[in-house]
Amino acid sequence: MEAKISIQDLTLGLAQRVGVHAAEADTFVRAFFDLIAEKVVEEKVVKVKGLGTFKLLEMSERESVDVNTGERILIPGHSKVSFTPDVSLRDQVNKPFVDFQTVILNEGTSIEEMERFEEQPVAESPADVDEEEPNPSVEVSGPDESDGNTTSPAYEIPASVADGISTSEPEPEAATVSEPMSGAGAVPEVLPVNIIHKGVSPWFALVYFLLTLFLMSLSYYVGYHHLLVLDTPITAKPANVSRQSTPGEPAAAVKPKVLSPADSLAEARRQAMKVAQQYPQVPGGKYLIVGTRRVHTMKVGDSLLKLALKEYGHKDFAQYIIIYNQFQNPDVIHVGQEVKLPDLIENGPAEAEEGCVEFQFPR
Amino acid sequence: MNNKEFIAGLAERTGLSQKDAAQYAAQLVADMAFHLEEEDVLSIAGFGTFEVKKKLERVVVNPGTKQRMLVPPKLVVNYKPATTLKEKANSK
Repeated sequence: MEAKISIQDLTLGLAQRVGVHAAEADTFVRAFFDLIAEKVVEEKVVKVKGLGTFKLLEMSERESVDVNTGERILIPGHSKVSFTPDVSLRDQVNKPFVDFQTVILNEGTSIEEMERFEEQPVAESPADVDEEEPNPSVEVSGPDESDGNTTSPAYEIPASVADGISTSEPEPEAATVSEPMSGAGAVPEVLPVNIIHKGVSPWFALVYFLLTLFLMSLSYYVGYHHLLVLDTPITAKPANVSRQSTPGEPAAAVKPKVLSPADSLAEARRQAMKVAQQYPQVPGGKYLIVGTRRVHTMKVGDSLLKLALKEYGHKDFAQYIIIYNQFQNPDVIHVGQEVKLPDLIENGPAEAEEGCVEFQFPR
Repeated sequence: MNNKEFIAGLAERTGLSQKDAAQYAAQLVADMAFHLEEEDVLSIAGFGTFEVKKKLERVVVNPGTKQRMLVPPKLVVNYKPATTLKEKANSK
């Protein structure tokens, strides 16, 4: 490889190939090159089969610039020996690259693009799984749009539900408790899923989307029907239940009940039951309505939930207010409307357990 | 001067028959081609140097049609005449 071959090496090679003396081969090789040199000067063209064509070219005088001084100089006309290799020699030398051919470039293709094509197979593999668009610039925006589409319903559903319940719909309180939670739980679930699996196949995205939708509807169902939140009223003790009721109300029965020692509890309860008969009761409720504590006039910004939270310490007690006031449509309470706030006593343990089973909200 | 005339001249100089001269010349050329294929440098005193050069791929534009073409990389034989030959060519 890249060894320097002199005339002696050629001589030896020829002597071996043809099987002649080295001296004879040497004479021949020297004569060979001498003849080419001589004839190219004399006749301007020498063709040697298998090697190529030597030509004597006449270069006319021309102007140029001296690279060192920058001055214009005149290069005098001269002759130059040129060599064009024979086709067979040319092909033999170019054997390693013989498969390459000149390619006509289409309009608009630039060299930078060609370089990018070489890089693309690496970068494209995760991206082109995504959608049918082959254009990489479109692909970038593609998943974003689909993300927006998939997440927006995820946002809207819990948001609208929670809004409707917490602001204007005080009746299914438990729904409001569970629903924003489920919404809050579902939305962060959706976002990372879409971010992480941006490049994954559309089937995965679809499955995740449907799964999320299913979980959301499930949690909405559970929240709406109180399947998991049933014990909330049990754990939440009304803050003011034991408080003495206002005079003038049928609170006489309550007072002894609350303050009485344990042995008279049963009797007090029986009395309270009797009183409770007069009032509408929450079916299966843990507390009994035994009178009117006070009357509240609704103001702007008031809601039954807020009222229950303020008065009894937990918004779940709004259902007692609704039942007590016999609201046909608890979603619509007008400003200035008077709402009676009931006095509550704890129901018997046996009944309370019964009450845990199922509770249907008045619609 | 074509190959036939060249062989004839060669035979005359070396005292070989035209057939032998043609055979020797063909063998010599084959040997040279073999060396060039190995990317050796053939340096012949008083005549010049044969060398294989690598040409990188490049984009060329057809000035008539403005069509651009990608020329693949290739190996070409390069000949550089010796100084004595140059002088001989110019002294004429």
